[in-house]
Amino acid sequence: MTAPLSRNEAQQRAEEIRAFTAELARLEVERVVSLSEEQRQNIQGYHSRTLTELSKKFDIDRDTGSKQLSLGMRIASLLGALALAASAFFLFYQFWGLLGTVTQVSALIGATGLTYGVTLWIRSRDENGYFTKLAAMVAFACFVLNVSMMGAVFNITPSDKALLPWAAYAFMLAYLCDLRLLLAAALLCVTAYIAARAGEFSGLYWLDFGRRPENFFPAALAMFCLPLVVRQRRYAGFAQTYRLFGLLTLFLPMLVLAHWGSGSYLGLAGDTVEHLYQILGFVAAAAIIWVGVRARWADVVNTGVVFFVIFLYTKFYDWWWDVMPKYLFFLVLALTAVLALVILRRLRSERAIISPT
Amino acid sequence: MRVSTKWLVWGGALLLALTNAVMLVGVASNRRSPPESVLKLTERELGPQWDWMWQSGENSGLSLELRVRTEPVLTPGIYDGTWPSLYGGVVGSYAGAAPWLDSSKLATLGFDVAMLPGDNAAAEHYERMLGRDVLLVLELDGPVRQRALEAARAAVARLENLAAEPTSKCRADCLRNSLDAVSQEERLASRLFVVDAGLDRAALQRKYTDSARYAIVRGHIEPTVIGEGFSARLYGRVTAVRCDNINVPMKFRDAIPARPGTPSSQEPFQVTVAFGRRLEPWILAAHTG
Repeated sequence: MTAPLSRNEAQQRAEEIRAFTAELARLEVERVVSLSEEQRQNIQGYHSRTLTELSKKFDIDRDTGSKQLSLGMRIASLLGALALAASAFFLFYQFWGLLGTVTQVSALIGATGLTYGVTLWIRSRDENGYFTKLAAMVAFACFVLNVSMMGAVFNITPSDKALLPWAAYAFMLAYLCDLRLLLAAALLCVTAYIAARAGEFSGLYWLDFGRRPENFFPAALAMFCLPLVVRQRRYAGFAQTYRLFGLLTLFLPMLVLAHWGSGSYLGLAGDTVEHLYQILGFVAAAAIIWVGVRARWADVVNTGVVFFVIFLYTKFYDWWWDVMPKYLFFLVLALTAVLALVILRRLRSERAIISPT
Repeated sequence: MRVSTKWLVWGGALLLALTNAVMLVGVASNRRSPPESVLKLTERELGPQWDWMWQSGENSGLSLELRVRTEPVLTPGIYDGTWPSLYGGVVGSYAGAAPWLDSSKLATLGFDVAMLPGDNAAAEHYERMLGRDVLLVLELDGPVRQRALEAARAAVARLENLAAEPTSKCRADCLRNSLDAVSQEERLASRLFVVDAGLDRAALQRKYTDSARYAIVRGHIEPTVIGEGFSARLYGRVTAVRCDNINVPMKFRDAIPARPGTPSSQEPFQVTVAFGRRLEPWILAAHTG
């Protein structure tokens, strides 16, 4: 057996074993195949040993019940991580004014170093990663607080450069602890930094990067393409996270520009810019669906479909909301949804089932 | 991608150390003696920071916000031909135009001012134009403040003359409002004005040599068109002063009320604020009275 590299691979292996056992039982009932007692025991013994090893090493879910419990634990862990980070943030604000400057700085640096150490310690003992997620999120919150509060204590001019160490730290924690939540935080920081830089290049103050939504496009391209260049096979869901953030960073600004033409860098009339981005939105969404189908990326297809429908519905609203009876308006929406279903079903039958990779 | 765990662990520790080191070195570099400017500010120039996210007792820190003004552009008024424009003296998102920030000054700051302000498309064109970060010169209780004071007094004198006429539309309440404005200007309003802008710090330092009256800070300027048609003029608005929140260290907290309010409703205090090599301020001393 090739040893799995990560908990995700181990979990996948366990599910393959479960599926094989169920299918074998079905084949035997229908008399398609008949194994001798020795063969059956050999297979069962091998699977049992494999599952025990995987359980010991990766704390995998051995059956459907424990898988459902794991989902609940993941949700609890996510909420706990966010709440604990917020708690650390408010705790510092509650008391920082009562401390001298040296103590403030020592507390900030000390808390960051301590939470980083605690995260590494928990990570070495927590195979399933639930508590690691809590600790890593607090460590990240402490570092964000460290930089922003040092800025406040010493009246440092706010700068987009702070986003870089935040992003780097979140990336390190994400890859170190295999956490998508921290990867999302890192991607948000990177998006803000690239957009701020693009805005500054055009003369905007960095905090005003949202005034020109086109500032987000370079970040969108970088995030979508990165998993193509740097493979993320060892990290469960990382490639999808990159692609999802890339697409959101592309489509949300497009959607804004399709209704707010004066926010564009293009030296065209506001109406012209809006029409241009409405068309671009449809074309880009259709192209993304095509790319997703070709590459068998379910996440990309779904995101493309969602934005295609949003662009379509907002256009329908502009055209018909005032002139059509409401029943007819919603009937048209429903018919377009049915049409989308027919087209997607046809695509699916042509391209076989899209499997997430 | 297989990333070495050991590399990540040490990389994370190095990142934390390096980030803090860079910040502390930056602070030390800013506060190297002697400071670029040292201004003695009072409760008139330092107001409470607007903290919408904190309820009482949740944030024990105290920051003071620099109250910076610009001299307003005088526009055609109701009674006398000139009147301070709406929002003229404020610095911020709703800032009015500053009279010294005319189109030739804007051109020296890097703005493209080719389109005439009287052009039909000028208002939208300059509205869409992006602002720029520049160096601003702050003046404490100098000639500009004197002009603002005299302008307010002259406006009252004109209104008094108008009120004396039998057919005047200026009644006692309008005169009282103007007198209040003069009183405000004399006793309560900030004496800190933005008086110049530039891109060359050394040139500004040579021009404004009195470091106890002038300070250079970073700020943001946006163009705006005042008036319409032939009377339209292009000006700049000071929309932000960077580093306008100054943290009050614990050792100075006794001199400053816990939550300073408006200048009229609080005990007076004086704060000596230094501006360093990186144009970032800090408090050198503070006392009441």
